[in-house]
Amino acid sequence: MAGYIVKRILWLIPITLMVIIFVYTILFFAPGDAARVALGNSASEEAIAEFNAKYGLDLGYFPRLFNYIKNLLHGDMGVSYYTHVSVSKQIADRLPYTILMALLATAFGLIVGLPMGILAATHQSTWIDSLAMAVTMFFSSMPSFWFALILVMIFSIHLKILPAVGYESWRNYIMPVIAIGLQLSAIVARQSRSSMLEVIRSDYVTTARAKGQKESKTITDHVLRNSMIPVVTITGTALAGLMGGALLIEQIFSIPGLGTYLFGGIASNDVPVVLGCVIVIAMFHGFLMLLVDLVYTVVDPRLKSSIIAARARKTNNRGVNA
Amino acid sequence: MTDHAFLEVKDLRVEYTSDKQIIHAVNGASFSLEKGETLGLVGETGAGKTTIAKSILRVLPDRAASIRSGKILYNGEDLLSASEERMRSIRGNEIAMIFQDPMTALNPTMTVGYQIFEAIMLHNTCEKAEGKARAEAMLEKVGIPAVRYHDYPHQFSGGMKQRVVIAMALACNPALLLSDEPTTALDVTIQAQVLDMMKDLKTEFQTSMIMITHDLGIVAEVCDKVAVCYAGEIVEYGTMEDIFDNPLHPYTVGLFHSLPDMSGKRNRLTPIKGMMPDPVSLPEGCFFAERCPYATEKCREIHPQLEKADGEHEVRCFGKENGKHG
Amino acid sequence: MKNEPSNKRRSQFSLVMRRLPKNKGAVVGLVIIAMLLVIVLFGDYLTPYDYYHQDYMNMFSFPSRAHPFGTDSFGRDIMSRIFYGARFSFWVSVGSVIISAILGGILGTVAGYYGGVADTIIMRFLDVYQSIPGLVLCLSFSAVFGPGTFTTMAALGITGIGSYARILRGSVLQAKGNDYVEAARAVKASDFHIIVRHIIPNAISPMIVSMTMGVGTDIISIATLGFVGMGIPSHLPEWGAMLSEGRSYMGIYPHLVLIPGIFIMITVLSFNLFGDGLRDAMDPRLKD
Repeated sequence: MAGYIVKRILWLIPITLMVIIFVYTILFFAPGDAARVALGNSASEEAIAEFNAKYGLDLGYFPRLFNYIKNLLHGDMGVSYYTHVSVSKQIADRLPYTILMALLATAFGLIVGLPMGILAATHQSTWIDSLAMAVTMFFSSMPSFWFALILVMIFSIHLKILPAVGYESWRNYIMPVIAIGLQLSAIVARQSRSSMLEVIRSDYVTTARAKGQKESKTITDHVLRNSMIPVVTITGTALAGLMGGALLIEQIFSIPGLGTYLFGGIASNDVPVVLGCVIVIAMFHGFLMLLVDLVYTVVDPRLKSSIIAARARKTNNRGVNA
Repeated sequence: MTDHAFLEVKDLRVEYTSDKQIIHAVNGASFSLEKGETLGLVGETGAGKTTIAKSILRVLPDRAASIRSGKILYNGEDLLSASEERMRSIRGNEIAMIFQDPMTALNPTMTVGYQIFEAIMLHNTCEKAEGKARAEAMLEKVGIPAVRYHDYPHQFSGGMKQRVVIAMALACNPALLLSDEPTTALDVTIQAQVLDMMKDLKTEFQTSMIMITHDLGIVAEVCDKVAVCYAGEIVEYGTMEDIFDNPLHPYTVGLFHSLPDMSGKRNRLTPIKGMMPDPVSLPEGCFFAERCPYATEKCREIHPQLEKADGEHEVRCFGKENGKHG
Repeated sequence: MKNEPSNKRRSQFSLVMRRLPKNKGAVVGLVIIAMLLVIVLFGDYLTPYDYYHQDYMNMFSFPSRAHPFGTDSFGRDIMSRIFYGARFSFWVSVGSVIISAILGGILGTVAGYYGGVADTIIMRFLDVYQSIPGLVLCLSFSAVFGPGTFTTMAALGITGIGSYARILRGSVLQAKGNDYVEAARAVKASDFHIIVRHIIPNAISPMIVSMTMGVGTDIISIATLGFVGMGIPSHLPEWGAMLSEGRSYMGIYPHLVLIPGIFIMITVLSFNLFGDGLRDAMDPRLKD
């Protein structure tokens, strides 16, 4: 098991490397002269040449890429073309806000979505089910940034009970977390409903009832665990999918996380900022998928033994070869 | 000794609703069972056998199925009007069920030991350690080493899984065991082993049993009484000897004719022509009339009742009035 | 024997046609999509104003008879702008989904059919590709391609290839195991023939469902691009861009934010409802 985890973590290295090359290449070919934008149109030719030399922009595709990766290995992601502040430091300062939001939104998504899905499944074809499905359909069709604006309109402008921008108080996080989390909860509710319905129909649930198990215990002990397996994946992938929108939500509420930084970077063609943010996001995504797989093996004993069996096969083969 | 039977099913009717169609799965099935006996419930797929068994335990899917009428008297107590709480204390404890497909009857994310343990703890107030010890003993009893308590279902073969299912069903020493084609999903060689084991355990635990099967060979081997099921009703009922030596209903006769005869007197199998009537729209007269070589005008118009032939032998056919068939 | 796949397809089609009208959600979705299509095709004739006509006497007017959705900060009729924007959202999202499906479909088919090294390379590429959030990827492409209708379509289309590639790869792997594909191989049918005649027809239902839902997702993406000021040329009315413009005034004139948002939501909802209904109608496991 430990070997499997180490292998999966090591696998993140080539993935990250490829993400770097990929995004670097896209940005390399993006139009726009960084020096011009940074220094303004009135800047002299000398100033621009100096700027380009300072940031290594006068070099070609490969030397720049090589330099970037070399520096990255030392934890250095370069400096922003505009603010001249270290990107690594900025990201380190901002990442906690983004992670906090992601965690809170996931918690919200699960706390709201799971009970809704379970209730809908256990009350299939009743008004509860129809209502839950209508509400979730509604929320998953809504752009999260628009929903965020509506929240601001209601709670900040009209009711004046929540701050529209800022990051100091916990009250600043209520609206952003709801804006992201509600969509997640819609996805979680739909997935958990459909996988529960599948499990409820299965023979082993009838077996549990035939044993004399209580209906509520049958649901918690036999149905939930088995139907949570696909929910784990969908929560992981849904969260990864909502990352983009979540970053935008940060910007709307002026929370100084990765999103605000990234969108600023994209708007001003600030290559080191964009690259740094995308690398961190891709690694975050990789860890998320790893986490999903690990939770999977905990929930589903069939997987754990298949991993162990696969390793046993491999060792055996090696034995034969040696 | 009381005057009522150990188990008596009276005029049981069960319907399934699917897409606004009503499927008449069980249409007035009646039979009874004495303590210690084994009743074979015989019939082809879709005859309503499994539905009858699930009705006794009341574990039919709530939404789709509904028990329209009838009585299921267990020691004189009507299970269909018993409280859910009472049913829970009966399920797995006094009446247990073995399901057809061992591949799907076990929870894939629970150890087999725990699944047996769960059944024991539900109906006994004992320490966890004792429950576990009893679960291990049950595993040993069905021929599985107790060390495999912590293994998961996917680590077992089909036959082994069915042994686990049997261990689970017998864990609380039930008075009545409902076995729904317990060997159909297994390899032929494993079938015999599992069946032998069931016979031994039944004797040891003195369990009464309803054996649902379409295999007359199994009936011959384990059953005392036989109820032949067709289109959701019992068409013939009697002792094993009655049914095997003196089948009265043309359908029962047909079942025997579609079996290979080992004595070699017959060299052709004669399958029953046609198909069971559509359970959505059942015919007015005898359900078997369409396929029956002796059907008369009366058979097509009036639905026959289950009537006494001789002794305990009962048959649902007008033919016996007209003299014995083929 | 030769007609089998097409018969199967026809019966699948008739099955869907029989089931779909029974699904309330799908019918509602389809009706809204039809109404949207009317707006997309005939929007110009439905309102008396041009989307760019500025009326400084009537700035920020609330919904009224003359302006059912009110006017914006330049006194432009919001209904005309919404209708014009519908055109952009609709064609760009449909176009981008088709681009995604074709490119992703080719990748997935190649990966699944040829397997081996091709499969490994393509799947690893997708691992990398999909570990970058779609919005970020799309913004980057958008930055490279510059603003415009076709560039936005291309940026969105390239961003979305991942899921289609995975669907087709899965279908191909499944179909490859089927006897009729083995049979076709045995008689030395060309790869192209096998893929077109035997494999693609089997992958079509999940693709159609995915594409329907994909239109909804892309409409949100377009609005998001417009909201952050990328994608479309800034003078054109786009729903997301309208939201972003109205945001500054939403405290006093909430209709500037509400109306474009409601249109985005209803459009996306209709595609989701229809896609959901299609999936149920195409599910062979469900009996009717």
